[in-house]
Amino acid sequence: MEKNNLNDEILIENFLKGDEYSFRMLFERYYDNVNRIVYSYTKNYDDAKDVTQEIFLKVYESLKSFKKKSKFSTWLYRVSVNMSISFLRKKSKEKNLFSLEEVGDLEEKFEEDKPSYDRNLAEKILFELPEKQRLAFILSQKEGKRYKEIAEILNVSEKAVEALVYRARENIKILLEKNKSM
Amino acid sequence: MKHIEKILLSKYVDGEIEKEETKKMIEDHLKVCNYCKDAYNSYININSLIKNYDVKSDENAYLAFVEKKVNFLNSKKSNFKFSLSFGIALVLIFLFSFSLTLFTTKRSISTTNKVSTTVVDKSFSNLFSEDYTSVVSTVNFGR
Repeated sequence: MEKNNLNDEILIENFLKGDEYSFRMLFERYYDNVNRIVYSYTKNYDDAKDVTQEIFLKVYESLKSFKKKSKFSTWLYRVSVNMSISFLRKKSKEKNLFSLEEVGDLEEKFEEDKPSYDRNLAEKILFELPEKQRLAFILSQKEGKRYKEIAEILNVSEKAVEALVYRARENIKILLEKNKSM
Repeated sequence: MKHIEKILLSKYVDGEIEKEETKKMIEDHLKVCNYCKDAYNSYININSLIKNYDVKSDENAYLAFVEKKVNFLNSKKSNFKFSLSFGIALVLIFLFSFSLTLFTTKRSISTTNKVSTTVVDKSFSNLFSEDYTSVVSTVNFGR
């Protein structure tokens, strides 16, 4: 059986027995998914890349403590959400620490982070949604997660996820209309 | 005609309705209600639009990860080495100061013993000699 076809649990077991290649399989299986989630928070490609690497380093270190109560992907997404949030908190603290002389640099940084006009429509619209709606919607539509898993990842109730996804849809409809009229 | 609640329609689009009865009710309603059918279609269109959302893939991601991992493990190792040598140094300092204290205490005890013995001896001999002189002088005076 090829390693690519092995499920996550077997790859984790193999990795814990010392097989580094199994970790590589997990990395390659989930890198894009994790990167997408992180990017939906950071809205900056380089930051997303750095945070994604940090997340996998954390997973590499703490896979032993993964208790298998939930699916590996759910656990991984939860770690990703938590680390993205703490990255944003840290970044905003750092921004607050800038002195007045550095305001110019800061403005340049904001310019860099602004979505450019040629960014695709989907991204542009998604980034206008409130954070939780955006993430619930991406997890549901892009990552194919069930409401129950999304609730676990975001640490909210299933009912809350229902509402988040629904509101995200309604908001996207409004934003698409606005975009058409522009 | 009563329309389907939009939140229910949203759940239906995501295949999150478990009850077969409810699913059937929605399906039947969508066949006859244009308003709900439009809402359903708009949700489907949104889903296909979002499917286009993607972040450019990074081909060298694993390589970068390996580099980061090696740096991390090395720093962990050097941290361990540092803590180990720091620990050893602490133990050595402790042992040195302990033996120094022990040595000093021992020495002061023996000096005290020696001093006290000398003092006693000296005073004893002095006393004796004084006594002897006084005895002699007394004897002389007596004469």
